Amino acid sequence: MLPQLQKDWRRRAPAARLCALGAVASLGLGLASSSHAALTENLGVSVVGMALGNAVTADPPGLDSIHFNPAGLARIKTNRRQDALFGASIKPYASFHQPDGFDIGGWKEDPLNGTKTGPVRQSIYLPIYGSPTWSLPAAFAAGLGLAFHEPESKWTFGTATYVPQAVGIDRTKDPNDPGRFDGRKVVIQRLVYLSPTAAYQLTDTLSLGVSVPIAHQGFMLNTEMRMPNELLGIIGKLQDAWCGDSGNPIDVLAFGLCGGGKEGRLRPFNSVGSMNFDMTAPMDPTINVGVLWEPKEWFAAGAVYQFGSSSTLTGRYTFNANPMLRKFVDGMYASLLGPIMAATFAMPSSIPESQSGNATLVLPFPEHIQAGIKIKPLSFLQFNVDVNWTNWARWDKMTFQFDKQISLLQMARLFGQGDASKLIIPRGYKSPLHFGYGVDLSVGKHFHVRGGYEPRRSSVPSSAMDLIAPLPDLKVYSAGVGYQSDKGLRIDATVAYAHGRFNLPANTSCNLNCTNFSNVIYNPYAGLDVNGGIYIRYGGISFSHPF
Amino acid sequence: MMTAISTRSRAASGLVLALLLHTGLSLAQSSTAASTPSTSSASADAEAARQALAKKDGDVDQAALLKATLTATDKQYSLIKKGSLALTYDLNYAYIGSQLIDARFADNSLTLFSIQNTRSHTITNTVSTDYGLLDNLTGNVTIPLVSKYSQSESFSGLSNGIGDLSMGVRWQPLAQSRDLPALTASSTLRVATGRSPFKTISNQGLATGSGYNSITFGANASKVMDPVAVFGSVSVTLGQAATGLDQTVNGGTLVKMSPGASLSFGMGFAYALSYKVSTTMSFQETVSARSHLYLADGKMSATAPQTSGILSFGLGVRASPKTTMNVSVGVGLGPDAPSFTLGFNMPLNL
Repeated sequence: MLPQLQKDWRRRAPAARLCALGAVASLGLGLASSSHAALTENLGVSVVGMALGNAVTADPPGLDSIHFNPAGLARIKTNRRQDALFGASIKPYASFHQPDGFDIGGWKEDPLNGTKTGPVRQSIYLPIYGSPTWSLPAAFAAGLGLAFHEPESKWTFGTATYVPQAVGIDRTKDPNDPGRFDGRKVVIQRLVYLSPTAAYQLTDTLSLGVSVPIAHQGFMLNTEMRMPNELLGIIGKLQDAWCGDSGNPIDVLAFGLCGGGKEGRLRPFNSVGSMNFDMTAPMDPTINVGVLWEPKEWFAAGAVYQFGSSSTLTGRYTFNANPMLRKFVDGMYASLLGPIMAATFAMPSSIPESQSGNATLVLPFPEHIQAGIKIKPLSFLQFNVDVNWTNWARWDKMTFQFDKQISLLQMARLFGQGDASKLIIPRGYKSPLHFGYGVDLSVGKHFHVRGGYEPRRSSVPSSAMDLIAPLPDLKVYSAGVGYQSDKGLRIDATVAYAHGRFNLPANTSCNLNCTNFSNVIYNPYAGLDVNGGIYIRYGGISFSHPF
Repeated sequence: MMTAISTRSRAASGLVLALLLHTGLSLAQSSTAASTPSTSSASADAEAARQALAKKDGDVDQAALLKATLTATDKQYSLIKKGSLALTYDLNYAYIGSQLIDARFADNSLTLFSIQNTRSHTITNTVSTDYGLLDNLTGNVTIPLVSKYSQSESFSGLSNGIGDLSMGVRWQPLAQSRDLPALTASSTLRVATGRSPFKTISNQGLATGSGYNSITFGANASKVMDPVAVFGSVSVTLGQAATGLDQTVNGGTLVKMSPGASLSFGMGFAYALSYKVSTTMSFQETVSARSHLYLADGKMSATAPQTSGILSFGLGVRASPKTTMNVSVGVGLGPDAPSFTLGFNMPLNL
């Protein structure tokens, strides 16, 4: 009975393959419109993976298996070395427009109206050194992978260096860039420098693998701050009316609104200061577990679970305060009733020009599940489909802990900023699912042509979108070529392109343009319509050979 | 009969001695300090100093020295041969639980009273490499990877980091002889590559290193008297001041920390129960001089001298002629020692 079934299957195989392919294709089409994902993951990991829309868990390419599916390393039956070089350019852009009826506490002309962000360069984080002040048009990274296999052994061991997560935006070139209020420079980079991996070939068709990527996590955020808030605007107008051009002689007996002079007049659109964070976790291990099942030449399935972690980053912070709030507070405290008023609002008695110290940040690295299949209906044609899920919901908020009370944050106590030794940046990310698709065409014996499509839906809902991580829905297109010699030399090259845009009318995202009365810290573009998007261009080349 | 004795002798020395390595490892960590209930207005200062003094992760030179001394009695010198390489893996767990009473008196009235509980579970994975520079001179590099779960008022969670890298040499001035004990001198440089306790928010327990460079000079002696091996050691550690700091501690700003010198001595014995199993017992005490803390306003405060001891028990099992695995348990003696430690050790180049 069984042999008969097998015969039937063999006879029907071409039909079955086509059906399976059709199923994959329709699955893909059906889900393409509702697929989701995040931007920063899987961008600089694998040259071949990138060319195939990262849909490679069922056919993990060489040493990139360590990341995509450690079980795939068991397919390497020789000592092998892989060198890779990547370049990526991430260019976000945004423009700001003032809608009709714009009014922030009586102020109706935002100087940012009609502006757009300027040149963006790429920044990286160098372990030990930090983020260099120079920046490049594209970020470059090199990867090295080594695999070790004893003849006749079922085990293969390996390690690789790669970048599983990276964003590096530098807007410092134009000092008046309107984007400077929401991340003048942002670098979030995870660099795996060691990833001991063991893969075991359980049977002829089944392999298991586990790897322990040990990463350096770098984080840098430098931003100017402004607080276009209604209360600030109203107080500013009040100051102008009460103090006039030359102050008010009885102000000293009142609340001291004029005591700060012209510089101490509150203006909702003026910069109040800047903040800078530079933090690292020098060693942060996680675990990848993978399984690979290759029952047929034309079919394989694979899955990987990449455990996450809660990286504890430590480093330095600096807050610089511009004269506006400093003089304002000084003026209040130099009057008769001002201190009472200031105490009522829990304002600090003075604001130092600069405050710095040690900070701690727990930055979750979200867990990721990826599963996929490969179908090879014809000897020269292969299709890959993967489903991806990343638990970005763990990025609910970022909490920076400082070693002292920050006076600038004390000014925000009135608005519910309870503890000025902490800064909580709400994120509210989602954990969407997305698919990736790849096609590999063999041309002759030695050449491969590849194409990939990965529609990534953003993990950032529009209610939480900002310019620090401007990650809208993206469609990633890629193309690649590969050469494989008879002696085992492999050369692969890939280019990829992605574009996504967002449109955020005023009051859409409370990390960006809400006019909520209580939202002082996260609304640098309060009341403005913000339109923008992001371009990603990527290129990589890798060499792999036995040694 | 002679053959039987010599076989046993080698077994005893080999197994037992490798055990010692572990014992030594735990001993080396004995200066990990935990504070006891103490009433002090400068409790945070003391805490900073405690943290600074606490970190000795990866300080395995003494252990390795013991191992080398005891495992190679049939060679002319007891260290590893010129040109040969030995890799060792160590896994160590230490638990520190402490309670700190923070009380402040002003004008004869109590203005501040709080009890801070800090707990930390620390797992240290250490890989050490020994290389025979000469037959009687061995170089050693040790890389510790530290994972720590800490609980305190301001932070609860896991942190990971590279510990302090250490590099050292061991030198055996005299060739081995039947009558004299094996004598070894050593010198180890510890580089502050770990996360400094002075560059994080104080009292969060996130440090994975000591925060300052230090150098240790030591001497060891061991003698095998079948089936027992006895050993003793003494060492002095000098620390380089950590400068350029900017840490908020108890309202002040710490700018410099000058660690006090410490003196350490230990003794113990190993006993071979059989060809494959041996036990060890050892004691080590560390006495540290005052550390000085310099604040930004020009004030200086000094911590109290600290003394800690640890009693270790070990078991070694020889899995193969070249592989001996050791397990040891250390019990902290006195308030400045870790509550307890647990260690595991095995050679990597099988």
